[in-house]
Amino acid sequence: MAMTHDEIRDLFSAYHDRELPQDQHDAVRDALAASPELSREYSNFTAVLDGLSGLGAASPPPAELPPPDLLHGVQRKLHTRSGGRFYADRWSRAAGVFPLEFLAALVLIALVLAYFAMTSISVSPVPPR
Amino acid sequence: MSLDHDAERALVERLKRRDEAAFNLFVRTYQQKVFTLVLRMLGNRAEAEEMCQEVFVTVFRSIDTFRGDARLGTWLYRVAVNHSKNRIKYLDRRARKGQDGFDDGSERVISDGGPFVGRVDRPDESAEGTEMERAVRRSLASIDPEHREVVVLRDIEGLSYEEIMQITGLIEGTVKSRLHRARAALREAIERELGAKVPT
Repeated sequence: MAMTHDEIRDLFSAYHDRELPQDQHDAVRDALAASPELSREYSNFTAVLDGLSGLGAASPPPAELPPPDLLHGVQRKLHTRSGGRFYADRWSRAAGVFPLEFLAALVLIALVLAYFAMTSISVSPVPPR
Repeated sequence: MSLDHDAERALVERLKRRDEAAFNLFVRTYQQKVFTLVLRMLGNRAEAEEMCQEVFVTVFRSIDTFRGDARLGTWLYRVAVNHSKNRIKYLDRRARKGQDGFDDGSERVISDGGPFVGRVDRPDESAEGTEMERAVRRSLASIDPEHREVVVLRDIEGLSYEEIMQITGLIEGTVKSRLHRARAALREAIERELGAKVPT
């Protein structure tokens, strides 16, 4: 299958995505092997795609992390727009600000402290008069 | 995305009952994906934060329309993409109105690298990454929104053609041809940005 360089260039995208029929795929592959100019252009093309895939990294930079209060903002909007029907109590909205695990740990610590405080207090019986 | 089919189905059932705890879980599960998608589409962190909230509010309100034909994540992407495109159109109109001298000037000036990309909040200014990645970020913000949409979904989010068709409502041939033109436009923009041919 003979194709012009322009026709090959038009197929770069589909070739990269392996979306071409086998005969076209082979034709592009052969053309790239035969032409240093096309091969260089294809390398440039894939360099752009490599740059893009780098943006989709598993651990995004801090500037691309969602704000920590995003859920809280959503809850506030739902509360307001529903006329108070959803996220009606302060506790349910606080759940978005502080993870429940964090709140549970706080309560546990408070209980432990209260227990030690109570056991350390010695109550002496009032002597009979 | 992050949930298997059974967990997703159970979550959807709870969302349809307007279970607030389930919705909290839903937002926490998907907020990173939605936020980066919207940020890529809008190119402005402040806009993306606001838009991300609106996406989740829309999901809460319209979860009953989710029929389960597609994955929940794909449906969520469609909501996010549609919101972003509407916002881009609005900001574009507002920017053009401002250029005609009708804007009251009370809001932040947003024009640099595209009609909707705020100079101050552009994530590329502070984000880490190679020179190529920074050039890609800036160039992405400068290309046509319809081109940006398919490039973001395919080349950054790594979605299949099938998923892109479900999200955009385009037919396969259109997705392919638009992606081809989008990549070419992006390459030209990067070359302008770098002032040379794209390094290999």
